[in-house]
Amino acid sequence: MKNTVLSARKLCKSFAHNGGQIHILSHIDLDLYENDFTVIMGASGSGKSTLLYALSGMDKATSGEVIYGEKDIVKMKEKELAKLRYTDFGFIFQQMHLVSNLTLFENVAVSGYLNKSRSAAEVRQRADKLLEQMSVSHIKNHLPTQVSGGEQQRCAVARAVINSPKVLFADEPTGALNRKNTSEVLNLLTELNSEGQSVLMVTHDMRAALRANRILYIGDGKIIGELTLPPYSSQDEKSRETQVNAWLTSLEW
Amino acid sequence: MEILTLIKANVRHKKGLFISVILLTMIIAMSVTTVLSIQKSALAGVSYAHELCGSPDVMAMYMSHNLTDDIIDKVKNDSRVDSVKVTEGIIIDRAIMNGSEYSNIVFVFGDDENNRLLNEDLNEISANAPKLKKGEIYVPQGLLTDMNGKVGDKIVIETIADDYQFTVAGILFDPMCGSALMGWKNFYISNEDYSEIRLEILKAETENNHAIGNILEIKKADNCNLSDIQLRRQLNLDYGITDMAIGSLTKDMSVHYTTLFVEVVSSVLLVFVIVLLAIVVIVTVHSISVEIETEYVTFGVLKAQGFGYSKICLLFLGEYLFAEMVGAALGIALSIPIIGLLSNIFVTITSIPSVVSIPADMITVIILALFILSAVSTLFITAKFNKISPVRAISGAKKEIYFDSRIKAPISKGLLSPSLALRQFTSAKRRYIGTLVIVMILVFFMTTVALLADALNSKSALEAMGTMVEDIIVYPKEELSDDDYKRIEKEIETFSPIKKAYYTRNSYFSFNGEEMYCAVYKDPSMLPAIKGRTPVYDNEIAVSPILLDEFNIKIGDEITVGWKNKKDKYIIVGTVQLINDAGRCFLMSHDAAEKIGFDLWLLGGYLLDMKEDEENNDNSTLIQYIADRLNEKFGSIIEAKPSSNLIDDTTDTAIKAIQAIIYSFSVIFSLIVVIMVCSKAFVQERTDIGIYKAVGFGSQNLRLQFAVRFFIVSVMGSVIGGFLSYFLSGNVLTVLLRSIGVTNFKTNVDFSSFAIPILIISASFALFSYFVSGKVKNVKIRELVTE
Repeated sequence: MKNTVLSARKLCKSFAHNGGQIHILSHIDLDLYENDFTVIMGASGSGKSTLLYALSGMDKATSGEVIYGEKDIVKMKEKELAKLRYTDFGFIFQQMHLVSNLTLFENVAVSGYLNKSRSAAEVRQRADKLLEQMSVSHIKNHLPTQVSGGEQQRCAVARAVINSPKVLFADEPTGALNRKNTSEVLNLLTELNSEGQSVLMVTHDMRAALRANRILYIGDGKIIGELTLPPYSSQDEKSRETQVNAWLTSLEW
Repeated sequence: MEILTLIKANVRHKKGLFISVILLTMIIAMSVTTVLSIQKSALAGVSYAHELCGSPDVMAMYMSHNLTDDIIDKVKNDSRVDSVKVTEGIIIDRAIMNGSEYSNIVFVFGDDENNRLLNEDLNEISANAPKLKKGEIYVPQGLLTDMNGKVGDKIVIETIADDYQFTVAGILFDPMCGSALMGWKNFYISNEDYSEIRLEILKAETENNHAIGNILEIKKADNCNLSDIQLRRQLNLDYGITDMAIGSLTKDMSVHYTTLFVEVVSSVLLVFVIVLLAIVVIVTVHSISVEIETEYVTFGVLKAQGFGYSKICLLFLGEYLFAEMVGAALGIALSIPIIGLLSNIFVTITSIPSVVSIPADMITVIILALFILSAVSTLFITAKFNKISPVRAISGAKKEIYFDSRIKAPISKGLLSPSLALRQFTSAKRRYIGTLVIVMILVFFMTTVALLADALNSKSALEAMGTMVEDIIVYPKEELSDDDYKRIEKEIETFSPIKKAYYTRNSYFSFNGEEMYCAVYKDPSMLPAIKGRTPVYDNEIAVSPILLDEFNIKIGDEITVGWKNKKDKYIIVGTVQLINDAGRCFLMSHDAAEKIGFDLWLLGGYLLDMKEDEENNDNSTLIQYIADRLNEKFGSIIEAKPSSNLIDDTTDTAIKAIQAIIYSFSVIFSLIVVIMVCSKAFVQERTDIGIYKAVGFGSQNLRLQFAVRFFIVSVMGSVIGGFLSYFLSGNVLTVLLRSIGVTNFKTNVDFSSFAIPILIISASFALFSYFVSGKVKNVKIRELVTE
């Protein structure tokens, strides 16, 4: 029996448009489990990113609940949400979004400095370790504009995990990367997951989805399919691909 | 057409920016129109007043025995003179009202049915003043201003015969001498009172002590092409009209002194408004520069579509000039009621109601200058557009545009927000140059005004500028010997050491035939020389730089100086700053003055050795006590008095008002500048704000970063402004105050003069940026999502 790390109940998100309402998410019920690598897939405009942002508290749901540690993050005030972001949740964006006037090291360290539980020295030590793990320690004093997209994204991963979050959210983290960089970033996420990190990733990239042990498919604002897989191993990638591909085809992807 | 479409779209989408430009221009247009109109209205009022009253072109006052029929006849018969009028009056020793004393020259005349009065609201002139009853007196507003008096108050006039009390029955309208800045005043009493007092004075007069005088009023002939001062000089050279006079005045001089205060206050405010104008141009340039950076992609697309530099220039010119024109129109419209309310604001000083007059030409020139400056700056800054590469822009490249990090200020966990703020500043320094310059200008001006106020209230600064300051003044009742003065000094020293003692008497002398104010000092070396040296020998004088310019003379030149009938030649040995008679003044030793018969007794001034900052009530009590002791001990030969305030209340209030206006406008401008710069910074950093939020920074934290950043910029700008002020304010004030005789302004460097403006501006920038950055709350992390 897996432990639930995050649950959504009757989660809805709608936008006002031309005097009416567009429902992006419609009464979604969902549990995310500890140590899982969960992937959300779906067609463009299906609401997968919206779901990710609603679950992570980056965006407010219109109604419903998102329970994390017995607290509904939908009802949390901005200050509580801010704390949640530097203590329990980590986030990776498709466009990296590093602060342009901070070096790679500082981009990682600044997030760590927010967390009171570690001293400055501990944060710096951990940032160094993570940047080394992400293979960007040699360029840690470079500014984001001075490094490649893949290096930026690896730094963004380090930033996301600097505070050892309970859940790592990733929104199309490989969407802006080339094949080589995509592979490197996915390997990092897989490695982190194998070390116990819960990951929730949105992607429409089949190769990225193969890293998950659970794939959710969203359509018309609802979860319309779920596929459970064994933990990722590069050896069985071919068979996973066939399995996932067949499943997605059945969902008319 | 395409430009018009873009302008309309931009105005719609950048409402905040355009409202700010409109507000800034509105404030400037309103201030320019108001200041210039009030100035012109005051001047127009003075012109109208002289026309209404038919003021003489030259006036001279005499002890009656010095104005002979021969002089009068000669002047009357001169072809340059149209008419001459001689009026007899009583010269009083002093006037006392509401506990204040007025010791300058005052003539008291019998009632004149042609007198005009001012109403108590000081906005209407009535002809044919009611006939005065016994015990009633008409005095000018200038006196009431000096002595905090009003109609109905009692006034005592002291004469050589006796003291007489009157009730102020009305405010005399006297354009020639009525201003608070004129040292000569005329009062009117009933003919009955006049006859009685005249008789008593005649009885009291001795060979050396007269109190019946005459005023000689001269009107220029229509065909006389001489200026008033030239006519006075020529009449003096020909007939000695001023050599024999106690004092004289021309209409031009009266107008100059009457409006001096208006001119100085207006000049200071106008310079400040022009400084604000420069700020508007800086803000406009900054705004366009940032817009080109933030809208890099849009401009790249426009360029790709065929928009060239000239069209983009036209776009910005159209947008900003439109906003500035709207602002200017609103400012002018708003100034109309303000002018109505404030046009008469200087009447207590000038004693002449203003005649509302708007100098449309000057206002147009200044506002046009703003438009032109703004347009030229726009043309220059828009050149940045040429550097935009459509390909780079469309591909989203921003590297070169966005920031210029050279200095990497360290990020610390303990001071996370301040250190991040510092990094944001150091990595985008160019973005803050405009703000820095604006802060610098504002602080410079605020500090300059503070230094002006401090200097005028500081004994040390006034001394450095050549004004003698003292704690006790001793007026002799008879000619005193050196021994008498030594005994007085010794008595003072039993209570307090004397820091400085000086002996002086000022009077009007003939200076190359022209009446000129002269400061006669027993020891002229007490005054600091600006160039050359102060007079040592009895054939030497020093002159003010203003006199040097006016007479086109130089050090080493020989001048004929006359007192009554005697004349002698003196060599100019140096220049000194003297602010009597608006700087038209010279200095000589008592020995040099005695050579030409100057026989007035010297006054003694004693500055006690007490620290300025300790000058509190205890010191005042001690000074009063010493004065009382001197009067007790030497009452038969002197009258000792504590010195009055350094500057009179009216001037003090005016300077404080200027200070308040400049401080308030600086704070308002800070707010608008912060709104504009902060809004732009906000647009530029919207993504970074989203990222910071995504990693756990709260809105408060991010707002604090904004505030810290602007605080850093404002402190830096303030410190630079403070330094500039330290070195340059004296020069600026010298230029501004030259009209009142200040040719070498010495600042009294006081910590608070610098600290208060720096604190106000820095705090304003930090606070306003904190409030304006409230928009941070609206930034959604969702905006970082690429759909």
